[in-house]
Amino acid sequence: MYLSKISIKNFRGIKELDVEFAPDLNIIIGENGSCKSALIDAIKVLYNLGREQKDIYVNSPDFYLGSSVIEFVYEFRGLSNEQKGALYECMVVAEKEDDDYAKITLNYKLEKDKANRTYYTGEIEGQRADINVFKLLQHYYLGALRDSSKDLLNTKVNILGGLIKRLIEKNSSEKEFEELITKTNKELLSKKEVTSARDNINKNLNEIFKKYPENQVGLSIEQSKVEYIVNLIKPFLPHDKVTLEGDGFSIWQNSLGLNNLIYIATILGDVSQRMQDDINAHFALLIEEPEAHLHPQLQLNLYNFLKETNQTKNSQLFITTHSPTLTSKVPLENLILLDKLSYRISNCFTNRDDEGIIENVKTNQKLVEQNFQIISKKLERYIDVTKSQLFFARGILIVEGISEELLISAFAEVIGYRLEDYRIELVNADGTSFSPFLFLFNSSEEKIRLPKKVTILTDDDRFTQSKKSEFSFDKLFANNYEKLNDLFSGIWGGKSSTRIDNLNSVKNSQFQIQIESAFKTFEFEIALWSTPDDRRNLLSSFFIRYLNEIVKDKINKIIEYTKTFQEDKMSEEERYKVALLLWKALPSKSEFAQDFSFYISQNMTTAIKEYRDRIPNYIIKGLKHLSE
Amino acid sequence: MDFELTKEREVYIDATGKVILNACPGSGKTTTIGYKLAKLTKDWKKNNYHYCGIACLSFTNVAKEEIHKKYKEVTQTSLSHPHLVSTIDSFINTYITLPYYQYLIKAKIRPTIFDYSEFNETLYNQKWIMNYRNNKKQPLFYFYPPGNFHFSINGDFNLPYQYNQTDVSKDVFEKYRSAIFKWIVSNGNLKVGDSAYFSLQILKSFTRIAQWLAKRFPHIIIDEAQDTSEIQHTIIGVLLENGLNNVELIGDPYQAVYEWREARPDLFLKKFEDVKNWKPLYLNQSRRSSQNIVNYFSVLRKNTDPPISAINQDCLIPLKVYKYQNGKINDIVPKYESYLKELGLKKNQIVVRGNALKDKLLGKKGDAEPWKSPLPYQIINSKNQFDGKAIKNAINQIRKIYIDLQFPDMDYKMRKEKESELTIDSSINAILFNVLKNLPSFNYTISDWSNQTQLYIKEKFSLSNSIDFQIKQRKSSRFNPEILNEQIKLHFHRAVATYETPITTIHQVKGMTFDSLLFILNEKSHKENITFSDIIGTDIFPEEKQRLIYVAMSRPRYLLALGVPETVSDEEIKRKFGDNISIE
Repeated sequence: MYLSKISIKNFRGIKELDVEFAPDLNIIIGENGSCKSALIDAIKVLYNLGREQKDIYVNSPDFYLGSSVIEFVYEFRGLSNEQKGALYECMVVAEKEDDDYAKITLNYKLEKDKANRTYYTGEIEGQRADINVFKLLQHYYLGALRDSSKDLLNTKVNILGGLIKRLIEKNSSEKEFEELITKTNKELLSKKEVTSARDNINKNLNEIFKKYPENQVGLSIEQSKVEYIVNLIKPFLPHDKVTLEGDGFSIWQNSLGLNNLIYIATILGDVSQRMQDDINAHFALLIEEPEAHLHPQLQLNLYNFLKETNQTKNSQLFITTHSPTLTSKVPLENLILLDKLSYRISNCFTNRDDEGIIENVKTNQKLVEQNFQIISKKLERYIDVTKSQLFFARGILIVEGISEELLISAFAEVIGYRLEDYRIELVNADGTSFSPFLFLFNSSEEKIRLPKKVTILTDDDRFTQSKKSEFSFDKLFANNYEKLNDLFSGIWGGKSSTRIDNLNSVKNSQFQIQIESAFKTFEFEIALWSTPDDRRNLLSSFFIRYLNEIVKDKINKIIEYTKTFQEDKMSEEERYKVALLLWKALPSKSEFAQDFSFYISQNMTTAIKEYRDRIPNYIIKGLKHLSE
Repeated sequence: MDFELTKEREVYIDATGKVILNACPGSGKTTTIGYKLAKLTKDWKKNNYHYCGIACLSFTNVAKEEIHKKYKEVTQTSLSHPHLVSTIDSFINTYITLPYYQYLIKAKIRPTIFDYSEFNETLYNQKWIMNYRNNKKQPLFYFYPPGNFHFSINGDFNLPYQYNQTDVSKDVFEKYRSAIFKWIVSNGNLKVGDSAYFSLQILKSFTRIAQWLAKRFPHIIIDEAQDTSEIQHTIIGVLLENGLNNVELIGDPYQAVYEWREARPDLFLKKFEDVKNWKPLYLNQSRRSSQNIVNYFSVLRKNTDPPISAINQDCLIPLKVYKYQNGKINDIVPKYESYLKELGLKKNQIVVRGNALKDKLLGKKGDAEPWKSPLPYQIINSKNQFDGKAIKNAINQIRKIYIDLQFPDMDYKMRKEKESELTIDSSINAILFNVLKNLPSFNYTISDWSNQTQLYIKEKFSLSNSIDFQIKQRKSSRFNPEILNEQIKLHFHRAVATYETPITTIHQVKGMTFDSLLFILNEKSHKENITFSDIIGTDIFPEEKQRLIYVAMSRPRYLLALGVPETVSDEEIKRKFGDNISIE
């Protein structure tokens, strides 16, 4: 059994929210203020119903602004037959037997500044399961700022004590424990030090009372109940890792992160014990921001551990996080994004056959479920720690490689457009596999379309022969610029890559996606936009001045070439040819990007003055889309 | 509490699976069930999944409370979730019809369940029902109250009797019938019996619901199972087919007196004889009656039945027969009462068959009907209950009146909700209490009382509109205008027996124990009457009339007395009960 869906109305910052959950593990992500904690608390409200000591209450400040009724609807699926019996009063009959589920509706009405709770179970109002039924819903909560050491060290009630107590009850060994405690207490009390202390007291008392020797004291150990003693049993970190006995570090000397792990391990021990005792119970483990105390590697260890431990059908994990590390490792079906609505990421790849999306305009085949599944698997593979940040951003700029990544940040600074200010994540696709990313944003169904703006900057890669060695810088000058002319006419008349058409097709007319392509390539666009109309101004161009510093010979050669033109003002063709030469004069791709971005940062003031209007327009358009 | 664990009790308490227990009168059936429940619940969690429980279902709320009480006596705790003690009707309504009817008719409806008169009353307020009229243009409603239609197990929806085909054409009747059918089904307006029918349809259409229910209640005990209807038997059958393992049917077919409520003792007996599928067990020791009395009521048992033995061997008082002349049954009561004094018996009862005989004994005339409005009758009834110390019933009734007056536009469902809401409203309850306490005296004349009470109620309930009892003007068979100047108390007095011994019908003493009981037999034989010649045993299972006699005769501990018309000869009586009896 698992909590498959929750619908929340008017709770804290949530006006209305439906969230679908995975049966095992749910990683809930979203910006600050996206109501992750409210969602966790909404789950806790139900799991507190059957508890005597509650760890959450709904009060008047919890009502969404101006509303007076909070509603929570919970749905459980995957119930065993026994659970269907246990939750009989909650059952809803579906069209197909496999889809039957249990439903619980909780309402809080604000009356005279008090929140009054009512509930009903099943599909229509009127049916009420006994409140004791909710005892089968058990939860453990590890809050974001919770100091788990405190709970571990609590001497009255703590998880470890509870676990031992339950084991004692199960083995009916209560008596054995009592006897052991009595025996040990007796031995302790008969020790010389204790008895002489007692005798000392009594001697003094005798002195005081003299005639009344009945005023004598004995000594006892006050608390000898099993329950009290087991709660005194505490984990510690022994130096001897084999016997696990002797000296060691106390929990409070330990790091918070490690204590969190010990705490979680204890909880899981408790859960598996209780699961054996009650096969109908369902356990929700709610952990908020585990990254707070854990370094990235330990986050992953914890994640893997939870994933493996949490294999049973009746326990379910809910983790809120801002950690890209965690996010990047989680299968999409376990990832839930909160952004006004909730999005179970894997839903972006299911039931979309009707949209008739074509990914390859040549084959013109409409994508079906199976294709979507493959795309989702691809995306899962592509998402790494840095790319996973896209889930936390407002806008996403996807580029082909490291050159764009480096230079576009620099360009943005030149035009006074800080990506962070717009919460834009720059994602380097390491190639041209953009399309899997687009499927997160291209559905015609609002519910499975992440509400973020996306720009893809890519090259149109016309005339791919341009890479051939016959078109190297030097060869372009030979035979009266024969190859330069060839290159020019090749590119001028070239056809852009079908990738652009494919991407525009995948865009599926969703305006939040913008595809911006460079004429030929990113670098050529940079060269072209920096080539002035007048040959006399070549060296006043910021970009050409930069090139002149590193490839002076080549720039001279280009200047020589421009002298063959009839007039100072270059024709369109002449300007393109100059740009082609400048492009071919560039050092290797990555070297150029590093170098030029460094140059820009070193000469920022000049760049802002002279270069801001020379940044390729398709980039400006792409950035503008994200900030609109 | 002392509980003797006899062999036959032990066998039952240890029995699991499909058990059918035939328990004779006075066998301590409820106590034994209490013990069995205590035993089952003690180790319940060890042997069963959490959140599933035992459903112990009885026929009436009184019997249900009795089981609660016995369980509490044994265990000092109350039986609560996951277990359930309820009536079989309420169980079927709550666990099957109410939540799942919606899936049967594919509309999100939670049915409303009415009793017979509520059902008719609700339909009465539907304008369309009066459009169906007979040849004399009279509404069919009055001749064939809609509540009389019922569902049989095979889905027929009809009257249990023929309609008068000369007064109403087949076509009109058919339209009337199907309009009622449609109103019932599409709105989920069900009588208790309809609910059972639909719950069976639900379980048959959605066997998984039966499976879940069998998991929720893996052990079902049905008390008074001789009164279980065919549909209810079938529901249990469907549950058994869907995973229910433990069922206990407990009852006494001889005490089946609810045929009008579709009780089917024959089905109980059929299961009892089906030894392949059921474990038939007896509780045949009577802890109530002396062996004498056991022998008297055993006259009605088949001679193939195993004999009932009495545990109490002392105090063997012979049967006392009082003869009355020319229908003067009142003459024999004083004789009976003086005999009781002589014997020192404290808890005694007089039973008769039918209300007419009862009223005759109570000296009660038919009440006058001076008003058209039902309101004053209800107020008087409530006040009478109040004065008779039945405060709770009185308040419940006046609360209904209060709601009717305050919220005249509410439909039945809303009124019921309001009722349960106000039940716990202590300030309203206080008002209601005072209204009854200070009601204008019944010493006033009908006319004065009416005027005063109309104003009094209006003021106390803070009503904006005046109320009108609608005093009748014209003389009729039930009304003579002269009585308006007579005191209320003369016409609407609380039924107080002239005698010390309470007088009731047989149905009212079912399940009860008395020191002695006087059973007054009718003089004339009639379908509804019980005469001396009805006290006969046969070699087949007896009719309901005989079973009523059986119930009556098996109530007393020490003394059974019969009131018999003098036309019955001593020889006849002795032939039936032996010579060792006393006739007066």
